[in-house]
Amino acid sequence: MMADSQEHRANRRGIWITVILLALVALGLYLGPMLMKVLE
Amino acid sequence: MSEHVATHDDHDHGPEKGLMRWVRTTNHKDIGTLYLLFSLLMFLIGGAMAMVIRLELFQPGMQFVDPQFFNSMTTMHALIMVFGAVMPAFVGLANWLVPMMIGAPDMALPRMNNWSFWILPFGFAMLLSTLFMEGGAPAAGWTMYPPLVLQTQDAFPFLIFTVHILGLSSIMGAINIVATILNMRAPGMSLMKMPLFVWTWFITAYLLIAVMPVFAGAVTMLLTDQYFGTSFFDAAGGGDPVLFQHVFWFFGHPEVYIMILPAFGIVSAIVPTFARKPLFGYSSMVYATASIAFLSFIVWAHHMFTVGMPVAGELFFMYATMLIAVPTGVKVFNWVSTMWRGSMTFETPMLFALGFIILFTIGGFSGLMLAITPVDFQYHDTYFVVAHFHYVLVSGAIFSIMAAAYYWLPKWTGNMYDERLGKIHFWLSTIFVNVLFFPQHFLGLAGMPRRIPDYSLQFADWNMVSSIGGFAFGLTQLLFCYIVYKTIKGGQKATDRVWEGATGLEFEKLSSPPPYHSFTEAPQVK
Repeated sequence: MMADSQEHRANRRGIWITVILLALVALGLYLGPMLMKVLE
Repeated sequence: MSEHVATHDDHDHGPEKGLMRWVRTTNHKDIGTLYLLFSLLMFLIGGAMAMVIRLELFQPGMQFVDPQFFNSMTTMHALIMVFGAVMPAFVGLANWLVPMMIGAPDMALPRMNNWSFWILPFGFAMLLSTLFMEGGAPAAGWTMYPPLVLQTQDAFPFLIFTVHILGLSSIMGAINIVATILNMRAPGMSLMKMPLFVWTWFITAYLLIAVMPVFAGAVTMLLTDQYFGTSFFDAAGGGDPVLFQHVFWFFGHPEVYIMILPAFGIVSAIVPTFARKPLFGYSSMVYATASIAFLSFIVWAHHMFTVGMPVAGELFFMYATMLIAVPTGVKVFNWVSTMWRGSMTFETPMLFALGFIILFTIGGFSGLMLAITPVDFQYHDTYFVVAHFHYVLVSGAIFSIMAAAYYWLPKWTGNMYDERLGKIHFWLSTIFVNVLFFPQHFLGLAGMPRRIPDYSLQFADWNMVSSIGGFAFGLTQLLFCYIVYKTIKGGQKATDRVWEGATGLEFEKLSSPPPYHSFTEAPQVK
């Protein structure tokens, strides 16, 4: 965790939105090719 | 602050004492150091494997190792250098530099940062353990093409799970970097004010997130083909082994740019400092980097011209590949223009940056030759390809990492490195890297195939020259280890700015060495 003065600066909601979106993209790219091939 | 009230969340203290500091640290500087040291260790292990390869190729005939072990060495050397040495070195540099360059106190997700690093040693321990297995280490090449790779014995699942771990580490690291850059820049630090190193890493992180999961998916399919009865890549069951090559190179080509874009960022930081001029064409550098990243997704099949594809496909991939020369040329032009009429001095980081520009360009030109479909049929799977990618990765990526180490080590440690030894290291490295790899162009053009432990007599002379260059280049890197060790232990004190022409928050606002927690108050960027 960061010191108080940094807490104000860190855009926590922005960080979590970025992380969740990118993690979902990564998961999609991991499973996507496999699922496409299985459903073919 | 006139008054300081400590809270449980307050971290205005130094690092934890003892070994546990390194295990539990969430500090971006500590984690950067861990990545860099790990990368140096892997560089030495991968380098030792390269020495075995060059030793066996010193003369025609089989002298020292059996063919299976030789193939293991080429495979393991590649995997260790790509995933263990070059990539972690750049992640280490990003950890150290990105927060300091954008005025952030740390990475956005410090605990995930710790995890990203600490799963790496386990991954590589698993991979290296295969050297002691009865069936030997993986030997089908780092490209892991089926059906050959399915002949790997007990080492096979270890190989696959290592790739999963490395992929997970890279994806977490990349998400962390994007989250940090998007959300934690100091007030006034707009995207187009960010140093080029931050920009190149920002784009590299997107590349990593886009391709590492695809690679992990491809090797998972290999795993299920081997153990769970699927036939993704097995023609007998309705699958297609060439599909693996397409998926692998969809990852593999952007991977090449993952290993070179941060190098562009490093050179773009160093050249203006020692030319004492601002970088020429900053915005064109950003757009060129983004263009290279975009193009990297649509050129993968140039690795597979000889597999067979429609002529329209060959033409598309040939022209798309050649198009990459345009933004790359923009970059080289900008670096040269930055130096034009500058007050240049040639300290070790600048020498390595100049070595990078010249030698990387040679690698780029041989890449253009390989892009020409009809001639690629001649060059494919020969030593010409080996020469090409080693010019790009050794005198390209690794030279840039050396340049970065010399450039920022005084900032990190507060001590100047030994300039005389640094210059000796540069000249020996530059001479021997060319003795090592330039003759491989001749060998390849004359038809010597890659990944073979024995060869025809006509290739003997240049192989001997190449091996001598290899041994000398390897020994020279021990000097680098000594220089780094000596700098960490002490030496002439570095000033806060370190270099007369240095710019950027890390040089202008932070001491050398920087405090354990830097930018606890946001700097104002004008």
